Amino acid sequence: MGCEMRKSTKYYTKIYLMLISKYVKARMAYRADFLISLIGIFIENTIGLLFYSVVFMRVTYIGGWGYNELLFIYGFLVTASSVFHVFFGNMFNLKTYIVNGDFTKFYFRPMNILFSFVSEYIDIKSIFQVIIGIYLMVISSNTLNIIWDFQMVLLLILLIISSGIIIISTMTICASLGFWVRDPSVIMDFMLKVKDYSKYPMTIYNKILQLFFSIIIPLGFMSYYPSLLFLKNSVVRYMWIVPFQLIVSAVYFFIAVFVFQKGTRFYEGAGS
Amino acid sequence: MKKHTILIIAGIKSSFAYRFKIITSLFFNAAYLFILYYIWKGIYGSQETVAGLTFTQTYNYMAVSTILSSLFNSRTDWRMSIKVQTGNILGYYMKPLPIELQFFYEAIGNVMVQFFIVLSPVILFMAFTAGLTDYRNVLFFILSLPFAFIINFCFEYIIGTISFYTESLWGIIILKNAVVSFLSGGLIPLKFFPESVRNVIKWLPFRGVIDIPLEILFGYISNYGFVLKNIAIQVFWAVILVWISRCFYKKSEKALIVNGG
Repeated sequence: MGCEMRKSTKYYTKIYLMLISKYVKARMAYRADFLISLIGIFIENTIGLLFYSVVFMRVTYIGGWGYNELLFIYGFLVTASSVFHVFFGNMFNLKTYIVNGDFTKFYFRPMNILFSFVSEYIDIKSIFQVIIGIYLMVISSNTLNIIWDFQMVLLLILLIISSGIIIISTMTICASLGFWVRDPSVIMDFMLKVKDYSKYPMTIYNKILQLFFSIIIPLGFMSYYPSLLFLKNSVVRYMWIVPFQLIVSAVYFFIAVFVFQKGTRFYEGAGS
Repeated sequence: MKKHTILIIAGIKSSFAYRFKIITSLFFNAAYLFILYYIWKGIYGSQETVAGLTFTQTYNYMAVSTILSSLFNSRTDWRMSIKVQTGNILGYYMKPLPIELQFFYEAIGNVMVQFFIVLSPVILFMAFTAGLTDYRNVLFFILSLPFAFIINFCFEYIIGTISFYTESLWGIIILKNAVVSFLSGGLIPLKFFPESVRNVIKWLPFRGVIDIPLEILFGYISNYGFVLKNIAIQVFWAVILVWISRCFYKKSEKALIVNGG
C-alpha cells in the first residue's frame, strides 16, 4: 500500500512538472515573441532614423528643414501612429474576419459594430512606439532649445491624439474596403507607406500637391503641421493650425465611421 | 520539368486572379515614384551633386530600386508562416516536389506577371530619360535579376522556416525587411554611405538584391570585367544562401514534426 502511494506521488509529480514546464515554455515563447516584436519595432525605427543620419552626412537641409526638426516630426509621427496601432490594431485583421466569416458575430452584439470590433484586440507591443516617439521628441526639442510649459505639453497631447485619429480614420477607410474587395492589403500597405512619408516636411512639394496632401489625403496633418507649432518656437503664431487640425480629424473620422458602416451593411446583405 | 512548369503557370494564373491587386499596385508604385521625386528633390535642394551623384542619377537609382523592391517582395515568409499556422503546410508534403521549390515557383509565378507589367515600362522610360542608349546595360541587368531574386527569396525562405518554431513571425519579418532594404540600396543609394561603412556593406549579400543590378544597369557597360565580377558575386551569394536555407529547412522540419504539424 505504502509502495503504491509513493509511486502515484512520483507519478503525479512527474505529470505536474511536465504540465508546468509545458505551460512555462508556452508563456516563454509568448514572451520571446513579444521581445522579438519589440526588437523588430526598435530596429525598424532605428533604420528610419539612420536614413536621416546618412543623408545628413551629405546635406544640411531637407526641404529647408534640419536634422533635429525632422527628428521631432518623426517622433511626433511615431507617437501618433501608436495611437492607431494600439487601439485600432484589429483593422489589420479585418480582412481575415471577413473571409473566415467570423465577422458575422459582431452583428449579433447589442452594440456598435465598429466599437466592438476594435475592442477585441489591443496591440500592447506598439506602446513601445510611444516611448520611442516621446524620446525622439524630447532629445530633438532639447537640441532645438524648445522650452516646454504645461500648456504646451497639453497642446502636444491634444495634437498627437488628433493626428492619431487622422491615421486611424485613413487606415479604417482602407481596411473597410475589405467588405467589398476580398483583399485590401495592397491599399492598406499603400496607406501605411503614405503615413510613413508624412515624416517629410510639406515644403518639398509644390503648392498644388501641398493642397492635395492637406485635404484629399491629409498627410500634412499627420505630423508636419502640428509639429510646426512647436518647432517654430512661437505657438501663438501657428495657433491657427489647431482648429484646422481638429476639423480635419473630425471630418475624416466621420467619413471612416460612415464607410465602415456602409461596409458592414453591404457585407450583411451579401452574406444572406 | 513538367511539374515545374505547372507550378509556375499556377503562380501566374493566381496572379491573374489577383489582377485587381496588380493593377492597383501599378498605380501605387507610380504614386510612390511620384512622391519619391519630391523627397529627393527636397534632399538635393540647390545642390548639384550629393555623394558624387546628380539628382537624375539618384532619382533613377531610387526609382528602379523601389520597383525592384516591390517586385521581389513575394511575401514567402508570410505565406509560410500562415500555412504553418493553419496546418496547410502539410499539403505541400503531399506533392512530389521538394517544399522549397514549391514556394519558389509560387513566388516566381507571382513575380513574372508583375515583371512584365511594371518593370518594362519603367525601363523604357529610363532608356529615354537617363540616356540609357546601350542595350547591353539592359541585357546584363535582366541577366542579374534572377540571381537578385534568388538571394531575396532565400532571405524570405530562411525567415519562413523560423515560423516552424515560433508562431509570431511579425517582429522578425519587420526586422529583416528593414535591414535588407537599408543595406541593399532599397532605401538609399549605397554611394551615400561613408567609405568605411561601404567597405563593410560590400562584403554582405544584401547588395546583390538591388545595388548590383542597378550598378549594372547604370554602369559603364564596356567594362565587362566589372559586370561579370558583380554577377559572379551574386551567383556566389545565391549558392551560399540556397545552401543555408536548405540547412535551416532541415533543422526546422524536425520541429514541425515534433510539434505535430
